[in-house]
Amino acid sequence: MPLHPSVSAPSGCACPAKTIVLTTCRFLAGGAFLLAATMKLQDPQLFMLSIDAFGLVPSALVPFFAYAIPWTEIVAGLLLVYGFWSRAAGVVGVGLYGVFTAALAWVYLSGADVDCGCFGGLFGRGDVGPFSLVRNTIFIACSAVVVLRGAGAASLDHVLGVECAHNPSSPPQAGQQAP
Amino acid sequence: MKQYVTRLLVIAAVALVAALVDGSVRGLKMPPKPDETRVPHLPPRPAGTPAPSDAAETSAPADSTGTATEDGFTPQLLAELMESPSTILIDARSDAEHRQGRIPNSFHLEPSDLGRDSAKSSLVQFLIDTAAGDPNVQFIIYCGGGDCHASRDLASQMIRYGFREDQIYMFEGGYPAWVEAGYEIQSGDPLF
Repeated sequence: MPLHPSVSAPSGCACPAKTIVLTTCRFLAGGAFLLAATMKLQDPQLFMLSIDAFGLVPSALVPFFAYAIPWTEIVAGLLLVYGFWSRAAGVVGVGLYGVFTAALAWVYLSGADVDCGCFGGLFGRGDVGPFSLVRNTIFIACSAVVVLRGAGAASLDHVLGVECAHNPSSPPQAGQQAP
Repeated sequence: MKQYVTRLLVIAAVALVAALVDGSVRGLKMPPKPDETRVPHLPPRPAGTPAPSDAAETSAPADSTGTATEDGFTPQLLAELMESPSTILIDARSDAEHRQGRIPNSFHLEPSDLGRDSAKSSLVQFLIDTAAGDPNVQFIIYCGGGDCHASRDLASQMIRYGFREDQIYMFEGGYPAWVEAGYEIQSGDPLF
């Protein structure tokens, strides 16, 4: 007996290769979020200095962002890792990583010597450069894959029948209910 | 589509509530910002010792209160200050840059080295002990010069972790100004 009527005919969820790719994408994007958030929340004031150094946020709002960013990363990271509401979490991932990458690119092109602050103080001083830009681009790609293709079979979405049967890129098949 | 928008709003709301609760518990406060324009004061010179002629010609005299002078904090003034055992130089640049070349006898410290159990905790403890033991000690922080935030961030962190603000100075010209002035440099493994 399936857990949910829509789980009985998943559209492309159970293919092992696809499941591996989607799970890897989710864990990469979500895991990076969780690691980065944990390190930032260990010393929020250090993260405030990093945000302030970028000069993109008014000083009065820096403390707010120093808490809002890591907590958004935690919520999105947990959802991505567990594969629950994966597409929505993937959208958050694309948005956050996109903003981070744009900020890094702006600082890199302007030539300012600014600590990335991406992972708090975990790896010491995180210089802004091609490595951090490429790394963030990979995370954007991983998040985008989850948005476009869903969470895959190894996810709560699949087990609970939340999203898998409804893939926006392929219309529901005959006998399959849209959620 | 509406479903995804609702989920996005829920995610944003949960994150916002968590951030506000966490922020109000721990304090939504910016770290202290050091005064970048302050110039350290020269240590008292023993009676009968002549001042270096080149420094006397090129550097503006810093007053005893440590306020900014006309010429600011020049490499020449730094070279004079380095003759005093109460002057401690700290390089806030990356480890690779520090190894490649630094102002002689400067320690390497990054903002993230304070407040956590890092490999530099013994150096941090040494600096804390030095600051406590000598009220005249002056910590001079430098980085890559120009639009460099590393010095400011490190100074903020040091003040947060108990160093007195009036003990901390920033050499804004940084390593490039020191090299440009023609002074000797040091390279290789860090001192500590």
